Amino acid sequence: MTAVRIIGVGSPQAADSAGWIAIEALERQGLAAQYPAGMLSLRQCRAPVHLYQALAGSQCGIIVDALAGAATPVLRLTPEQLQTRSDLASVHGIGVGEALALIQALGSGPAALTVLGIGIDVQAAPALVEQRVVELLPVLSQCIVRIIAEYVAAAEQT
Amino acid sequence: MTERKREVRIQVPVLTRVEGEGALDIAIHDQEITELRLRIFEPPRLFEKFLEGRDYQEVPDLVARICGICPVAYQMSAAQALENAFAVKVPAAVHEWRRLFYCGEWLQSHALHIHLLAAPDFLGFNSVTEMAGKYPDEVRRGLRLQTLGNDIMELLGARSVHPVGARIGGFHSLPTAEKYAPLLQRLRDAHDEARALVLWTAGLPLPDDEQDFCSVALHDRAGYGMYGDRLISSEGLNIAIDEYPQHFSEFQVPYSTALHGGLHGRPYLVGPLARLNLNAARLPRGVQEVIEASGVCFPSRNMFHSIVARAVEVLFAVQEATRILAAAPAVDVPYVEIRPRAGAGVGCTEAPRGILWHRYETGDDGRIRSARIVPPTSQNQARIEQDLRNALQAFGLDRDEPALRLHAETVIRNYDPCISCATHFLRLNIKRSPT
Repeated sequence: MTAVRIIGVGSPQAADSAGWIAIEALERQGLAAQYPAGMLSLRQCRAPVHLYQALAGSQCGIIVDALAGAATPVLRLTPEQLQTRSDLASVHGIGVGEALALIQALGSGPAALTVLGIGIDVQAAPALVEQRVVELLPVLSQCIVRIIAEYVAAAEQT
Repeated sequence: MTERKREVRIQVPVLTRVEGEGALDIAIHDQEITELRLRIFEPPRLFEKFLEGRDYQEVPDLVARICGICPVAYQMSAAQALENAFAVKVPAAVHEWRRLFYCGEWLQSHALHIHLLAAPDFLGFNSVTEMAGKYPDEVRRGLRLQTLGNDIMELLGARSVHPVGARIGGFHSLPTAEKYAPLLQRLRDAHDEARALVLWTAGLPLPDDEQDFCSVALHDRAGYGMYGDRLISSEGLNIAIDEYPQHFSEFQVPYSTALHGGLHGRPYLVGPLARLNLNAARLPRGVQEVIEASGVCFPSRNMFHSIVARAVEVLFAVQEATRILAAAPAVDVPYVEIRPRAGAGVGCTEAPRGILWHRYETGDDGRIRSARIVPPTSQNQARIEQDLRNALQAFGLDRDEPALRLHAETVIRNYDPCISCATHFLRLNIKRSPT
């Protein structure tokens, strides 16, 4: 059980793959090795409805997902800032926002929960998606390091 | 003094909490339903055509893409059909692992539908997020059971969404004891939760709405049917699965991209309630005892007992998966070698939502010449419309529009329709003028 869980949401398809590509790039970068053993883990998650299990037992959750709109770089969001629908159209319609709202309603999620959106042109070809994620990787890494530092500082205070 | 006749038009432009995209139009004139259309407008998926010309080995991975919720059902019906076409018999041990794979799918699909899609209707919530505030333990239980099902699928399929572990003749590989031991323990731990789920669903304030309908399900001589080579009905039908086209018809209606199904021209029901209505006596004794304790009797003519039937199948899937993993059938090679040949074969298995019938014709080279796939939701469509007419009449057509609309949506969601699965068909009728 790792305290910090970084989860890339998506699939292998086109723009939706940004979250997965980011996790693979962070693994190659050796992000977990920068922290005490067993503190941090990286995962890929296909369906947001599976986030409940993917986040179980963690204290700091960071969700990385594609964010429609090429102009936006890496955007840091709270779960409350995500748009949710109360009348979800289908299970396929359970997005990250709905899944995190459910987790929070259950009081089951980690105390610190952040969403990092990677700005992607939804029409982008797969090669361009990978290129975009690689370009944004330094910014993404900095965001993650900062979020973990904030979590550690808050944990030390309590 | 004259009274104006009441005209009501209910339009649900997008059905919510169902899989896929559909709509409902109802017109009521003077206490009578004059028009009722379950409109399915999701574009046809055309998978049968995609399959033509493909190698038989590609079929399991292709058909898995039809549905993110029930990919195992598509893989298993396709495998059975192609193995029949190639006259291949899968060893009993491999069949047991397939049954485990199927248990995973029933478990995740049913747990998800009960807790996330259906229960909010009966408890008066708009969504599971709202429901979670008052029923957190029940929602957590649902998510745990769903995860358990997903993990069984992942064990055998490498991933739970569109798994890739199955092949014609068996599996690419099977898990080691080290890998499945923790899952076996979790399954044992889930028995109490699954029993509690049956009792909880039976205690929900379900509408009492008895209707006449024909149930259709597979008959499995070995037990409660996920597989089987015969189709039976509550009206005495008992046929081999390859006789399906002689008894069941599909027809198009102008407002739907999915075909409607008929048994001898009449609507029929497939799915958990139909299975329980026909096969409850084949359930293990322990499951039957929980049904007895629940106070719900099967066969049932109350369509709203579908949620209880789903819960019973969750319990069955947990017990069956435990039995299979505890025995861990030994297999040297997890698949049978295939020698493709020209031929035709039929497969039919019980997807979470009901029978899923496949037929393939192959060439000498093992390439698919033609494919036909009949998913459960298209079979249930005519029955859903029939149910809506009966249920709304019983509910009271003089009720206000929001109440009628909610009741209609509840009736539809009760079937757990998978519209994305159903929209496979597009028939093109060309009328040419004489030149």
